Amino acid sequence: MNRLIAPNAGLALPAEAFDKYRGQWIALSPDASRILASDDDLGRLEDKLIAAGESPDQVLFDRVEDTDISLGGGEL
Amino acid sequence: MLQFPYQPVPLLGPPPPSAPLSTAHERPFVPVILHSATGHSRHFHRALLDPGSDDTIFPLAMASRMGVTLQPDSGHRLRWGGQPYPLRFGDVQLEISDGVSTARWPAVIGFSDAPLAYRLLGMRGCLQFFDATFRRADRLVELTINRTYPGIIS
Repeated sequence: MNRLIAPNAGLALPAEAFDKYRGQWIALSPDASRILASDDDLGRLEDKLIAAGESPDQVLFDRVEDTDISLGGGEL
Repeated sequence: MLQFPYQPVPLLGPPPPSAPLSTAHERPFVPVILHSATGHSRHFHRALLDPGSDDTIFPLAMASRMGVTLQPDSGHRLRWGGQPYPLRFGDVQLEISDGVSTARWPAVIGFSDAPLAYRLLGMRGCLQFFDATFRRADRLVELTINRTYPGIIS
């Protein structure tokens, strides 16, 4: 079993993400409890992680919702 | 069988008339790992199980950084926000785990720079290999591999 994914299975984003990081990509600690870095652009976020000595293979990526959009398949 | 609880996405504004007492959207998210043939991986905290999506779609920006070799442009497009976006395809392995069981399988998935709200686990590449039960009342989704599942489960 992969060691990284199981701790975050089923965990919601921390409240901080919805308070401060709407619309941004974020990198989370493996247990999804801490936000390590953020950016509007996913590539730049990886660059930030690498510059900070983090491995992109060892964090969780997510993008925080920025609107209350109702999702649907209307564009199929 | 793998089980994943629905996860809340807090509402920014008033609840919709269809759910006047709600404080959040409840959505069937799954944590997923993408593995490339070059040995790189990326972990996504939430991907949306979406039977309405024909393909499984992840950010294009991640493909090159993971060393995913994209197939030549097939001309397929993803429509998002009324706009068509190029959809490129590549071979990866997908891995999901509920902390009890883990499934990992090879898949051809789409990569796009469309500003999608979520990473999408669609029919091709993902849900085609599972019998999915969306137990909304229990806020739980269950995935059971079907006879076409090409991967391993542990």
